[in-house]
Amino acid sequence: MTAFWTQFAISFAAIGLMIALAAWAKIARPQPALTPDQARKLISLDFSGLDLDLVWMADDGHGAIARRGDQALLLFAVGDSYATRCVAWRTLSQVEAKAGQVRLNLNEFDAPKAQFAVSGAWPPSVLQGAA
Amino acid sequence: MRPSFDPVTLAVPLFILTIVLEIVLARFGKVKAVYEPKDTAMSLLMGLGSSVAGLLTGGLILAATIWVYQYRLFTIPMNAWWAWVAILFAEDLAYYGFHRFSYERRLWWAAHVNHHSSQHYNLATALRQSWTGGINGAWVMWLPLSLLGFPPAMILIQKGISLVYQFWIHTEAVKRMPAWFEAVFNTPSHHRVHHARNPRYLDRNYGGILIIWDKMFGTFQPELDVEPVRYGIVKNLGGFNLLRVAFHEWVGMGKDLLSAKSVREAAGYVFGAPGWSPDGSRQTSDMIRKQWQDTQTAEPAKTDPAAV
Ligand SMILES: [Zn+2]
Ligand SMILES: [Zn+2]
Repeated sequence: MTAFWTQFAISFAAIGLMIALAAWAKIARPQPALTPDQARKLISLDFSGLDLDLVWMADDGHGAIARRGDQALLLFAVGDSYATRCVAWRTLSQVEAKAGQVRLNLNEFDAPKAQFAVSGAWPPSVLQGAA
Repeated sequence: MRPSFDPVTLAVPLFILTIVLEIVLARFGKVKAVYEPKDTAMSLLMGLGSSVAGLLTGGLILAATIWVYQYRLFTIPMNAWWAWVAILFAEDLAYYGFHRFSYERRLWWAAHVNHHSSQHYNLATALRQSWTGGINGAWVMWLPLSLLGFPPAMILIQKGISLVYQFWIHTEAVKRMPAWFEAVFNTPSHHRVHHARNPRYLDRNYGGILIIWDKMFGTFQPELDVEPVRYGIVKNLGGFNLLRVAFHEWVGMGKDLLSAKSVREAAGYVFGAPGWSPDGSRQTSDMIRKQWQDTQTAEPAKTDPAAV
């Protein structure tokens, strides 16, 4: 048993070093700002068969929102990648933008929140009439 | 509980060295590898945590293995060369069965999803192992080996060898192995397909060391250059939190069970395919594949929308 925990401690230290090495190497995916076209493609990969003409782009280009009736389809950054979720439009429209950010509580265990950079009015007017 | 000769423990220094090498070589542009530090942390800590989880459930699994061994049909000697050849095939077939069932029953998927929840594919992803594989009973797939008469220690060693083999195939640094090797063995290319969320690639290439089972049972899909792999799961995780990574599907299943209106619904949520819902409002991978097939024209995908 002692041998196991010794190995556990050594492995834990090695993990710290490997994470530090990965941070030093800077070999994550490059994350340039998305174009609306790219955002549309990423959203439609997860919600196919939808007409996604109207897409609001986050200010920093690292997120986007499309509307489908009373639902909002969210595309948000997770590290150097993206995830999508669907929330009620009401939820989205009731959130307030603070310090250039909108933080949405998704209430999902595997995706607790999504964050978007915002400078203009909230909710985005481009999506207001998109229902 | 581990046997006195444990290939996985012995291979840990190799795991660490090769991960370091992959990162450093990628840093200097010598090989293709993508590492996101927070994602790397999740993968490696899942690996470490799984070794602790193994301590808790390993005893039970070993006891069951030994119990079944009492009723063995044959007595297979551990020191015969042919026995090791036989267990290579037998264990790999058991692994194929376990792996395939993990995609067909949510109770098993809830554990196996841990290995697939990274959007990256590198040697660290290989160590992203489940913490809950011991409690959902998926290990029963190996009990027939005891019944056949393979000694429990031999089964444990071969399981370890399979895990160590599967480590090296988690890389983008190797494009294709020689054709004869690709034909028989599981390779980086075959296993990249297995880690994909592209509808074309969903639920394919379940093999452990060998790819022959997939070819025999119709679950083989080669990696196509026209369709680059997008890694991860159908519904990707929205953050980096170890407990959420380890337990998200269990929590999802628990919530669904609380909302179930009948025994049939409850059973569907636990024993149905991942993504099953009573009203069909969620998608199983069969539904996703069908939808994709319906929208496919004769022309295959030429662009990779994820490569933005
Ligand atoms: Zn798998
Ligand atoms: Zn894998």
